[in-house]
Amino acid sequence: MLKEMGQGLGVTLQNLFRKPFTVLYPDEKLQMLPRFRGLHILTRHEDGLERCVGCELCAVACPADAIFVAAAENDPQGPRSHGERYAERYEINMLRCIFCGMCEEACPEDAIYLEKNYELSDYQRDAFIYTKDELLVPSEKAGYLPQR
Amino acid sequence: MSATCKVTIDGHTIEVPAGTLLTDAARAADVHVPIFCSHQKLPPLGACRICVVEVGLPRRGPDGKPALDSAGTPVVTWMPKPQTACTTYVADGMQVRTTSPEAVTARKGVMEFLLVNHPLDCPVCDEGGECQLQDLAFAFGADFSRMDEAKRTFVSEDLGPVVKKEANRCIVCMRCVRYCDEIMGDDALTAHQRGVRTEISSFDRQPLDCEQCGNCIEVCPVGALTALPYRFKARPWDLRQHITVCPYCANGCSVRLGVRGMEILRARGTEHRGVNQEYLCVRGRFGYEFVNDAERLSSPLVRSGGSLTPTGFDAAVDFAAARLREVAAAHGPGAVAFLGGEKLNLEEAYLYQKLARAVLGTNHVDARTRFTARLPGEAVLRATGGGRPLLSLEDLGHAEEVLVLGDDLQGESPFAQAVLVRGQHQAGLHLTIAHPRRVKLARPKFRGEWLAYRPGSEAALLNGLVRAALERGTPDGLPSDVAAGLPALRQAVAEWTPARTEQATGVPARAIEAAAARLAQARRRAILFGRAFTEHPAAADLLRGIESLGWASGALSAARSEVMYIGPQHDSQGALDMGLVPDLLPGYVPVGDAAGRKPFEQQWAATLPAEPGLSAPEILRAAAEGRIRALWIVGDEWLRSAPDRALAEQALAACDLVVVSELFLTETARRAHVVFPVCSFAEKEGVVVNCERRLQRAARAIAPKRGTRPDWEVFQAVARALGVRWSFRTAEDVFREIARLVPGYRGRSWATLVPLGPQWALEAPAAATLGAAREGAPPAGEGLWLLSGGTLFLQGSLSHRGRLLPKLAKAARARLHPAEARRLGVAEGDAVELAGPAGTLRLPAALDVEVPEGSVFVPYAHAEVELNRLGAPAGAGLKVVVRPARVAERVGA
Repeated sequence: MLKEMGQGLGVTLQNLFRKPFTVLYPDEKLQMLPRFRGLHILTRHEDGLERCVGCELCAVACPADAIFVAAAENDPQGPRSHGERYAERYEINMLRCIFCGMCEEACPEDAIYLEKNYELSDYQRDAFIYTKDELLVPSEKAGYLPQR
Repeated sequence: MSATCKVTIDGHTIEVPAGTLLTDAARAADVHVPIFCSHQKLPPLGACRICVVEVGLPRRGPDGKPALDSAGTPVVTWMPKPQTACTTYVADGMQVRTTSPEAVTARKGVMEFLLVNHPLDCPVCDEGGECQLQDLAFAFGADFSRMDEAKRTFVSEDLGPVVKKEANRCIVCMRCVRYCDEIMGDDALTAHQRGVRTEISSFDRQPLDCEQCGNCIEVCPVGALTALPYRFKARPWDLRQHITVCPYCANGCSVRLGVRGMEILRARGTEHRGVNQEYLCVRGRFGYEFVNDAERLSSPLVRSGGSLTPTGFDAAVDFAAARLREVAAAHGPGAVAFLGGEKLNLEEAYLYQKLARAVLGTNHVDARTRFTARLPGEAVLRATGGGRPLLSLEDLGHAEEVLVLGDDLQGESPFAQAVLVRGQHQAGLHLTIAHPRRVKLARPKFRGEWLAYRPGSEAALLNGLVRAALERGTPDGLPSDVAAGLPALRQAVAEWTPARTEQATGVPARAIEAAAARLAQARRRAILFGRAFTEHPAAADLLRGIESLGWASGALSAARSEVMYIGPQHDSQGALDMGLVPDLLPGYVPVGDAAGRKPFEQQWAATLPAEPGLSAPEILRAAAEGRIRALWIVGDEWLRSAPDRALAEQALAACDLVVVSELFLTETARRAHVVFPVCSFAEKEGVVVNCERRLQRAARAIAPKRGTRPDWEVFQAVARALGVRWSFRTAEDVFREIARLVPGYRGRSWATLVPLGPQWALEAPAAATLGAAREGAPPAGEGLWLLSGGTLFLQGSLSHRGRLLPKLAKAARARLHPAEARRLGVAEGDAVELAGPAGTLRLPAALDVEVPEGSVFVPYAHAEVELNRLGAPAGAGLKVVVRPARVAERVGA
């Protein structure tokens, strides 16, 4: 019996001196793999206009029914997107999202990408419905498209 | 040649009638042949070529028999090139291949051509997701284009407030142009230029001047024509689709509501479904806006201390019941009256009169609030053949001769008008339009006969037509009572020679004789009439005249009826059938008939009053005089619909209790003591009966708006508060009772009323009442004849609530013939004052050659037109003095 105990404790001792796998999150953060899928972004054209035209293909492709889009017509004087249509409301329910990336695949305008942000936590359930303001990249990032 | 042909399509052999198109044969064989330009309601064209298939015919030997090869199978000669299935008629022994390499290659080529100029803007296009081009490109097309050149481009434009045109997407299938031309009769669209530069637009490239029905949008297989009101609102996959029945006229079209969340976003027709199939008129397509209106009532209101205050449902019910009981106890049940109900579903109409008759014991029930004179409840039934099987709207399109009496179908029944236009265009139907005004169908392009009778001479016209029809001999198939009555009728109308009729009506004698002859000789005919005659002060006479004309011309026979009544509301027929008239119980059982009353008394466990009640115009007078102390008004803006505004105001002020069931706080509701907020047509289910007496079950599309209930629940709650035990849980429960009890409805099953129910008929038709129509007494008032009629864009107070319909209808105008206007010193747009016996109305004038001289036309459907302020019509109608408003001011000062 002592022999078995020794063997077991040996394993413990071995691991005690091994370099730990865990990182000290949030002080330390892991480098995500290139194809990791986190929080979505809505991208912009080089001229700063939104790429999304509100076609709702992401919404219909979404297997979790997490995306809601309501489109509207662009004001020709101050358009929000190329073309006549833009997404007036764009909402993703992150509690429903399964991060499968189908929306990204369905998008004909390269408007939606799943980026590396995985820090999705909050105190209210409502806060998990990400609105267009939260998803759209700032205008400094006009023309930015993630590498795939 | 045999009547049927055997065709083999992709190995499936089917037998179809000769003269079937290959596309239809393929559908019957369950083989999918793609189509764009072909449409079930339009003749073949072969414009888009997407339906190409390989076609072969059996080779015939010298003896005319199919040649056989050595194996004994017929030898097939394949046509050298693929054929378009939508223009090829089947032939016996025809062989068709839709999936052979040749057919597939040809189709792929056609698809490539169609896509040469088609933009890749599906993400922006409103058609995306329900686009036939998108679907077929996905199914048959290549995934790249060899087209190197720049695509041809057009500027997109709005063709009026309804249609958005994006010509870049157009594949020039010509469906819109043909539909507008052949079914709407509007010719509003045309193709400009040729070949690749072809562009669909209006003739003058101005906004469309048409019925704004939006059917061009519906038939467009791509996104070239889209609906502006629905622009970018949703994707098809966002919408829950519910098929229900349109609440705007008596045609009872099926309308498919697209609902997202709690909001109705659009309405469409449905191919191959309903009486209307794909067709919808502008009201049906865009008239749903009131359902979403924020001003809808959401809580019952009870008058306390002079103002209406929101209260709970139970409290409102108790209040109404207590006051009803008080009035009935103090003044007798005859002091309570029930008005309105033509907009109720069948079950609701039934419970409404049951509440009146069985619970309160009064026969003062009338749904026909606009009527200006008492009309026996059976008059309409008798005029339409006494309950014999009635022709359908589909039959109407196949008639040879159609006589429209006094109604402007464009406003009153747009779908029937479309049926007639199509019949005229495609099947050689001949139209006879009897109307003082040149209404749309009376225009020369429909090649009909226009019997432009003078206003007030309706009776003379009917008598003249009856006599002229009888001159052609006695029609076949008359029941014995009619055959026995014909000599007397002949004598009664003997004085109405064509010459005398011409003198009385202004219609040429030749035209009257010709119209009667066509009607009598046609193998299939139809006579249509509607509110222009039933709301006439001499309605009882006119309806007897219509009935006599029906029998004399052969439109009515022992076996069937070809006379159709087009009621003013979508369930006018149902309200009549359910006894919302003072003298009939449900199923046209007279209230005085003790034997007929018995089953009702047993079922309802009540003793029913045997005396016929007061009709709507009589209730109006009695209430104003204080003989009726309590009124219940359902779904009716009574202050606008009652024939005399001043009397109606008096009546509402004099009553001890006015209960109103409404969607909105209308003017009538403002004067009520209790207001019940009720559901709209989209929020409740139930049966409605259209003008062909067809039962259709309307489905619930959205949940009732918070605080509202279906009307029948309100009736039941009040009845229970009055101490009876009704326990209906659903509208279906009520319908079961109807199906047990009501003649004509016996044995009908709720389950069979979707999508299209049967047309009901009475086993024992009502006896005929033949006779000449007496000429009306002199009209009320003096001056010009006041003509009125429906408007295409508006119908009833609910249609005033939306944004689009009032905008399309524009402001109401008093329309005058230019010669009449010159005499009055009125120019286009001048304000004129109409002065009737009781009051005045001020409107801008419009010059219109379609209005006869000596009369003024004012549409009644506009919110700002309150014709009943002028005074009630009497005798032969109503006359008003028209003068320029400035003169009127001077006179007034």
